[in-house]
Amino acid sequence: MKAVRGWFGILALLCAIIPALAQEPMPTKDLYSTSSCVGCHGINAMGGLGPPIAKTKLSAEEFLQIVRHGKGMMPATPPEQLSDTDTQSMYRELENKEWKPAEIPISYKVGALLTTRNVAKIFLVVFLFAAVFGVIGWLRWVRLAGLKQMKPALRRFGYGRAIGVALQSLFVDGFLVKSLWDKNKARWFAHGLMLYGMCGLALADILIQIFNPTRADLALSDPLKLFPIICGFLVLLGVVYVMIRYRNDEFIDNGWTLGRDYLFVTLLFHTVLSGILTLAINRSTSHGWVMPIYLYHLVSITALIVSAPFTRFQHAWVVPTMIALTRVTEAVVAAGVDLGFEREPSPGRHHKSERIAIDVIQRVAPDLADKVRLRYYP
Amino acid sequence: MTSVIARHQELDDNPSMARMSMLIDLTRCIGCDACTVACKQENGTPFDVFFARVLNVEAGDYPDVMRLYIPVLCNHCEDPPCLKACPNKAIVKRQDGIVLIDQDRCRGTGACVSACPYGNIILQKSEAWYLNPDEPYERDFVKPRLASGVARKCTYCAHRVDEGLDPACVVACPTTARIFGDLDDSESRISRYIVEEGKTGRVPFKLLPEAGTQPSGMYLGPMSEQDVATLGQAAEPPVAEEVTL
Repeated sequence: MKAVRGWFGILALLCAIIPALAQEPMPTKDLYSTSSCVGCHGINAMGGLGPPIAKTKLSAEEFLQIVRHGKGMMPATPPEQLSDTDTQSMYRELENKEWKPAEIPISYKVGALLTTRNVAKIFLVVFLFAAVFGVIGWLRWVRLAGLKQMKPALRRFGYGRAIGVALQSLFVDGFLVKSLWDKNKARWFAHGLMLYGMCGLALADILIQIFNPTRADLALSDPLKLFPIICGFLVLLGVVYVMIRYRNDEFIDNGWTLGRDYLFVTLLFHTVLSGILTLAINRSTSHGWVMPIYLYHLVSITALIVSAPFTRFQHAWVVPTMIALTRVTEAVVAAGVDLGFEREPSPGRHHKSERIAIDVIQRVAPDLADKVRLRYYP
Repeated sequence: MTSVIARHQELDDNPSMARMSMLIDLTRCIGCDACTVACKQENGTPFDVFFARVLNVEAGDYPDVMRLYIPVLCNHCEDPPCLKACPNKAIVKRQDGIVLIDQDRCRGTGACVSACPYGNIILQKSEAWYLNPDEPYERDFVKPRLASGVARKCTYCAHRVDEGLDPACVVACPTTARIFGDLDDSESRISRYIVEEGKTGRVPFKLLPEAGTQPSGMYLGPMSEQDVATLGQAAEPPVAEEVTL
């Protein structure tokens, strides 16, 4: 928990040392300077969080289109706030504004790099990195379970049937977390906040990619905006519950993985919190804080994903896989597919015993290793 | 069961750098299963549940055959996959390296069972007993010692180790094929045994090293298969004349 407090400190420090980048609009008479556009595009239209729009190269139609529908972080502006005529006059104003390159603020130079496309590119690399290491680690777990040794029995059992058992287990034991439901409903609920919250966030991202590919800012009432916000809050609630439990559970240290467990919980907490803060500040007037916190959000997500194959995050795919393999093995033994025994107290033990026997014989008498038999299966 | 599991917090008060390990000398093992029975008696395990078992292995074809007894028990790995697979953190690694399943925390999820590459974790939905469940011995003594429907495995007899005793299987072995002790203590029986056997070229090996679990349990291969050159004798064993019928 001390580590978590430490991270809080770093977050606070980061916020403190990065100066607020907002430019206050100054009261002038022209249409642009009095509009809310200034908040992001700067008093001289040379950019703030948004790009410079002085001497705009857009056509009047494109300009109107972007004002009405938004683009990236830019919200849509309805005709009630800015009429078509005003938009046209503002367009002419901007065409005639002076181009002052020295005024392009650093925040825009950073922000300009964080386009939807660039962020997507970065995350693609990050995901691929995590996926490669995740799959390597996952294959090791499957090897530990001795799936290869079980192949002859699985063939007799039927691969289709085995996949059916595995899928059922992945859904019931994995997605619905049956063992937790049976043992403790409150814990199941807290775990569900995170599990289903994160599933919801992933689903929301896919839906946004389909229905809002430019990722234009939407109204809070829009389902595509509201749904991920709710999911984010659910995950945050769940993470806070886990952090409290980590503090109070005297047996949370299993003597081996505590650091990796903390890392996952901490990174998840920072990711969700910075995401919600980004959103809240974007809606408030202090736009200057948006960029640093949004940057922090991106860094947190990157750290969370990159470290995923090595932290407790991997339980999300390792535990369901392991339970599914246990269920498949149980089903194979129960089906009685000519294994030479009727019961097995430890699912998979017979295949693993054979593997141990072959391993030892290979070591002590390699020339006999191709003919190894177990006389019985204790 | 929980009462006999010394939790690692208790060890924090008495930090030791011990690294408990068991060495099994396959030359000495005669496959009598005394360890299996002693373990069952010590832990009061149900029907069909064996923490310490002996694999009865035949290899090769006549006339080039061998039989080998391989005693198998929890290896108390340095990097235990069961512990990492447990979604409920019910498996703990004590400071002396003993890996235990906390019977109170375990929910019987079953992830650890597949994660153990040695098949040493037992999980049964229902269990049978040898005697009538209402027999006073079963009812009052044996059954209450174990929680039902949770994962369990060899504890290296942690309750005995904490008392300074050897595990039950070690004590029971009539041929002293099992040597138990602290690897970090150069004066312990296991350390001295390894040094002594090392002089004749016998080097302990671990099960399934490619699994990357770094077991603490070790084995010494049978002497019959050992290269005699390392014993300071002729480099080549006398070649038996081929018999033709």
